[in-house]
Amino acid sequence: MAKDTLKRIISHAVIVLVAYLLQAAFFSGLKVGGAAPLILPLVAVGIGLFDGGLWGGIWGIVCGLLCDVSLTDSGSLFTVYLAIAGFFTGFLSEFVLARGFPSFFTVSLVTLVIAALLQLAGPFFYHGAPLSVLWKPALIQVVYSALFILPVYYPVHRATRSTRRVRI
Amino acid sequence: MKNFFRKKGVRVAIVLVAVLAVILASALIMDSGANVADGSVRTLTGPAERALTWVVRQLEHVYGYMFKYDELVEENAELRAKILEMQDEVRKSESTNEENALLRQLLKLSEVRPELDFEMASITSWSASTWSSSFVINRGTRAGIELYDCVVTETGCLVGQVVAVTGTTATVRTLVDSSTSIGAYIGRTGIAAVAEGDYDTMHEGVLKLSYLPDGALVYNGDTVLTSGSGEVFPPDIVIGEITAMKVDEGGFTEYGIIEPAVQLASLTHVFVIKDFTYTADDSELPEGTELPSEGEPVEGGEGAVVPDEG
Repeated sequence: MAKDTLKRIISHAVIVLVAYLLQAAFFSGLKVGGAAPLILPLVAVGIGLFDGGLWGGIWGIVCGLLCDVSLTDSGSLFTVYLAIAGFFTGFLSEFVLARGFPSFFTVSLVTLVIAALLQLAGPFFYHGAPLSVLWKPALIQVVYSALFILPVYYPVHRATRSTRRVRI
Repeated sequence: MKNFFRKKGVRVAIVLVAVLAVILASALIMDSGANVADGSVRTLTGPAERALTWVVRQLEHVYGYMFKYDELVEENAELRAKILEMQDEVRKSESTNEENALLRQLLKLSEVRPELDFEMASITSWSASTWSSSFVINRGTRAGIELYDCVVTETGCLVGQVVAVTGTTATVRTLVDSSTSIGAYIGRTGIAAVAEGDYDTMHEGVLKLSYLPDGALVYNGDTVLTSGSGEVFPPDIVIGEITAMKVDEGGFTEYGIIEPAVQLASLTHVFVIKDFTYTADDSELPEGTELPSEGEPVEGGEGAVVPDEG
């Protein structure tokens, strides 16, 4: 394994681990309006955007798995969703998206909105909970999570910048 | 000098003996352990002695800095390590004290409820989900915990229910979770109902008391307990107390708002009821308990008005 690849894997693993600990152990106790922030989806799309679809997909699975562990009620929803989101973001970055903050912000926001919609689909379709009750926590979750777009951007961007030559 | 002693030796000797005699006599008379000479000498030399002592001490300091610095550093490090050890011991003892306090409380509960078999557990993490209220504890199947076991505090207040379990951990869904549904009754009147959560009340940290019988009188402050129906939760576990009555969106059905007796935010330890003896007869419920008809919500009638007790 090339030195750059190893360096990339280690730096990404550290970022994912820190994001997991913050999401699962720290911010889970700091809920606002009953909503906790999702940080791992931002890391998954960040890696996808800056490192390409394959890395995005691989780390998307890892982030999704950890996300499902921290949420306890999502089954394997995020494992599948973040794998797709990471891969698709990487795919778009090869052809359409510029690898900068505006693209990262937009993709992150879209990912968070879709995540919230997927999460409220269960209560809405299976438990018959009214949308009037569900939209508020969903919105708070998106806004609360969006606060972490900038803090996540810098470490992910920095970790990928030094090793961006490597493509697999 | 020789001549001096030869000529005046006897006189000198007499004077010396006289002086010694005075000194000895003064020591005996004053009875203070010191004689006139001592006092005089010490008075005269006291300041000089103090000055010299100070100088010696300063020199010792300098000597200490110069030659005992390493020794002092080592000693300092040892003392710091000892302090850390002691702080650790204090922390452990605080933790043990806290645990002891919880267990003492539990002992009281065990005396009152001998049919319940408890397992103590610590909360390791809370769920980060916006759509559920649950936490993970550090005990699992190896400790005898099973799926759907009831979880309470040391004082016997309901916390929730085990909804997933591994060998060493278990996920506990709290009583305010949207999917909660517990057979309950009002302690004062014995009126049976169902305590249930929904997405709206979950974020407020409360739950609903639904399916109240027609004309049920419910007061603010009424205690709500588990009825034991369904055999999932043991009977007579405190859920919380009624804080308000509301009418559903259709305007037909009334339901109570239950403020949980447990402070979920401050929980650190919980007790899982691994086993309990269930007595199916209604004698477990207070006299006058009315069970709601299953599946059909009972509309709140005119009687279901809740004035403040005060």
